[in-house]
Amino acid sequence: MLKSLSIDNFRGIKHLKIGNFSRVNIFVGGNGSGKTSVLEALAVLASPGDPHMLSKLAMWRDMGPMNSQIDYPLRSFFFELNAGREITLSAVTDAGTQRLAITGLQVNISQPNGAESSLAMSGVISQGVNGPVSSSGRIEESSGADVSNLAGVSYQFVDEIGETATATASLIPMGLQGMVRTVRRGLGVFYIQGRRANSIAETAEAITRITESGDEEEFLRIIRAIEPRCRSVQVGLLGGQPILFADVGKMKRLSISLLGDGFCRACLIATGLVAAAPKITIVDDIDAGLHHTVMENFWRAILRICHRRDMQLFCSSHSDEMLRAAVTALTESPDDLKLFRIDKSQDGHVSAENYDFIHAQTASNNGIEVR
Amino acid sequence: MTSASTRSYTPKLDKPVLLLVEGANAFYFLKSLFLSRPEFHDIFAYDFGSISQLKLQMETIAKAPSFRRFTKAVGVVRDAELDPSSAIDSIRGAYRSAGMSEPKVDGCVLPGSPATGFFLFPGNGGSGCLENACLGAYRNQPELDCAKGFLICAGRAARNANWQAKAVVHALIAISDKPEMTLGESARAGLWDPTVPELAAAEKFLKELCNSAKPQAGGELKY
Repeated sequence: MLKSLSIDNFRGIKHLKIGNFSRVNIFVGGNGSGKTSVLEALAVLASPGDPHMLSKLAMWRDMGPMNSQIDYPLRSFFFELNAGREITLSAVTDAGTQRLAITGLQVNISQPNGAESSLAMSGVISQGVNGPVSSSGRIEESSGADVSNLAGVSYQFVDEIGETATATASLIPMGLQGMVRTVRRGLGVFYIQGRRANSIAETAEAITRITESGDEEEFLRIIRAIEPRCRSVQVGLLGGQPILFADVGKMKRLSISLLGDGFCRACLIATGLVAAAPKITIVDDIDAGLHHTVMENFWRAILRICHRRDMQLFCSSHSDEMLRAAVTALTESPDDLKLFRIDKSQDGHVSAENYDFIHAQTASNNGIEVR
Repeated sequence: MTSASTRSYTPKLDKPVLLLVEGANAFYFLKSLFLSRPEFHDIFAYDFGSISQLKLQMETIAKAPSFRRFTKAVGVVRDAELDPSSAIDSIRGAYRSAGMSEPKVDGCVLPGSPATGFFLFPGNGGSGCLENACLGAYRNQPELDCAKGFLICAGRAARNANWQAKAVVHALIAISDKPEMTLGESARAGLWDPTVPELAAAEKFLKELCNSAKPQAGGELKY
């Protein structure tokens, strides 16, 4: 179990420490307060050295392409876009402390004494603009000054027993390419971005795995929180493309796209929880597409699977109804719920206000503002 | 202003003075008698229900974003009951638990961020309850004597002083033009004289609280 998280120089967060995590952790706060950044930091830490995570997070933020010509999406992970400041993410788990440092790699284009063009790194491993460069690169420690030409990032991950692993990822014409060395497996994460209602191919693949492993009932339990009539969700092919059909007691099975955003999103969340079986599931805007009448059952279904599989859920929400539903659904296991409000002050300082169950319940029952 | 019994939305604590009031009776009583006046426009009154809820609700309110943004002074109004020092302890404990300065034991408003203070009915200086203050503020002495006599006649004169005060107040409301009124409604109907010392003390406390929330709050009242 993840107990606390510390973030330095990530996105808009210079420094933030959040503690006392529980089984279900809900982040609330105003627009631009940093909720999504906290979730992203968690995702990056839980998948250390995986360049795909950075690429996906940038893509889901609609940052545009990330490649050797355009470093902005990668630079945006660094506080104040300054890739000379090392990103540090650390977490306390049941087993100890994990720490991930991400350093910007810079192309040094200056050529003193007419020497051969070299690469100056703010990190530990040399990297070229168009891909990894081995011995020709020159290693330089970051002085904290901005990295003007970001060529990639290096990761250094230290696990709970103090073992260190490193990896690098370079910006190449096609994107961010990883050169993973000996990165130890992190906590494992499944991340569902707020605007991402459904990816049919991904969901179809996950449902195939669920069917193969015989976990359909567990999957359907979450779906039925949204659509109680659902008997099954099956994968088919139409014109060579995967399609998902649901049996909701009609004469014919319906494409899940016809059953609404809430159903599609529940499919995505359920497949993440059941098929991916990560230690950590992250859902940005968990209330997206959900009607208030199904929220309580949805929380109960999620809590049940989190317990059964020893998983933690980290999510954000803008909905008062979703918070009230969580409080009601978790009344019998109050220690499983933590609520955090992320605040950003006028000077840009990000802080977290921690609500345990009793305060979340008091706020919910008395209409006291939380968000 | 808002009351726990009537809240169906999330109230925004967008005024500089937050007044936490024990129960709907005291809440509507203060609202009718004082809080509707323009001089108390800066007060956001909040009914926290029973005293057992004060600590938890104060802690939760202190976490609210609008509290941090707007609130400059926090006051608590409750009954002294039979043991005023115990009532004061509970209030000070709630402030402490919510991370605010504990007000002085004499009830004077303590400047700070936020300023804190409390008022105990009947008059911030002894045991009793809101209804005791009402009895002191009743305008028709013969009727008051008659209502007190009613308790003797009914064989209930031996019960504790708080109970007796509540019973007499409701007997007085029962002989008014609208016997179905609540205590709060009776205040709006003008049954109680707000200038008597007990209620004047409550008004003084409210003014002091408002003054403490002003940017250049000084020792003297500005009203």
